[in-house]
Amino acid sequence: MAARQPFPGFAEIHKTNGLMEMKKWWLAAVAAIIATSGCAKEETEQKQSLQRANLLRTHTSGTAKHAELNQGPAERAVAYLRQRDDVRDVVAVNSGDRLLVAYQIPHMKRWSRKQIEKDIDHKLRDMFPGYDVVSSSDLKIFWKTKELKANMDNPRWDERKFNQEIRRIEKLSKEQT
Amino acid sequence: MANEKRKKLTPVQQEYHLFEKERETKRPIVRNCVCAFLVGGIICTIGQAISYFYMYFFDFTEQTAGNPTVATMVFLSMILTGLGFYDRIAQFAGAGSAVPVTGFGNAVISAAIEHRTEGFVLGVGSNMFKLAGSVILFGTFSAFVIALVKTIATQWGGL
Amino acid sequence: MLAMFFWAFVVGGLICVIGQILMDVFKLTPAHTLTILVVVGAILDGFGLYEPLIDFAGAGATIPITSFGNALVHGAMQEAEKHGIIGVLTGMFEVTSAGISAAIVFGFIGALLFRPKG
Repeated sequence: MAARQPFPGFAEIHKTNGLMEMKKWWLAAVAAIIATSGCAKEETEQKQSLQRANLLRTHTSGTAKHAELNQGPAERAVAYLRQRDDVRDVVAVNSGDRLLVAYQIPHMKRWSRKQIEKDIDHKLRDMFPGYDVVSSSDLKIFWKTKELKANMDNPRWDERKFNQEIRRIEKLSKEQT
Repeated sequence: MANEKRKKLTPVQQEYHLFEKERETKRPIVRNCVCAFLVGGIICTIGQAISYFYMYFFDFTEQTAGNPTVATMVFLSMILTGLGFYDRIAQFAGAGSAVPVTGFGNAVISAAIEHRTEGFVLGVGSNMFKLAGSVILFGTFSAFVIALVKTIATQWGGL
Repeated sequence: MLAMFFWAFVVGGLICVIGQILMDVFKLTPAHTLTILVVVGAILDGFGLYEPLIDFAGAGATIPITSFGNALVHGAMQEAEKHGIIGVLTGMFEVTSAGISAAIVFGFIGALLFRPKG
């Protein structure tokens, strides 16, 4: 127990010899493969999302329709949520038939997050009966919506891409566990 | 309880009991609690940082980031347990390192490592949940009872 | 975000202090302490009190073992809403799977990689 080497686990693996050593390395290799395959999946996932981003950025659509959507409903939703005292920050985006609203609840009011979410969802549905309203207080959805809003001025984004992205965020917000 | 037990003892035993109680090392409760608070708090803050990492770089929401966060924390606790650091943290922190999931991971992993000399099936396999098994058993059973009661109450009681 | 870190620290730390008090004042073994905390987590979720705590403290509430009981009840309730009473049994580990499967997998890998110390 007293004078222990800093990394006894690794050090002792090297000390073994003969058949035991081979066996040990085999086991270590299996473990390493398991670990790397686990990580590799994450890497490809990341790469995919990067690729997607690159595709979007390099996509030159001179002929495609420019995403010039009337953001009136989104602005009205933002104006309404701004005046509520249980909302700290809000960002909203809408397409032809969808309204995506993401907001942040002040930290001390997060205790009643579920009720606030329900209330805001009901109010927004009443305010915009013609729209498919998706509202969320989730931070990730907030980030994503903000990103989408920033990209709306990007002339290379056409309406189809835009709708696709909205649907993707909507799916993400519905995910459980 | 303790008093009833003591009455059944012989006078000599009672005397010894008092003697033992006197000599028992007093646990420094306040100091232990401060250590547990700090270490437990730090572990949870690290967990929060990991879940923000998953939310920022991958498509996880606040809800879904919990699972990869727990898995990562257990992975970290495997590394620390294997290298013998977790024991040292536990000596200092007590419940601060036992209550977070890393403590659960540490219980499983240290049991697995400890019994590997007895073979993988009889040693690792059957001893892995020696310490953590009770947590799983009572957690699962109480959850079953609670969920059952709640379901019956909401479905038939119309609550 | 900073507030989240702060409250994760405080709430997580306080749950650990409760565990330490159970160990020191009531002289329970660590296994008893963890078992009690898990059951308490399950009960709190039964009354719908644990979810607000998670919303408020984030990892401060999900990292301590109490969230294990909460997640078990949660998975069971989720399935019960979908499939009726039988869902209580089938959905139990729906949400918790990550913690246990990670502990099993990494436990075995740990046993392969590291040697016990005398």
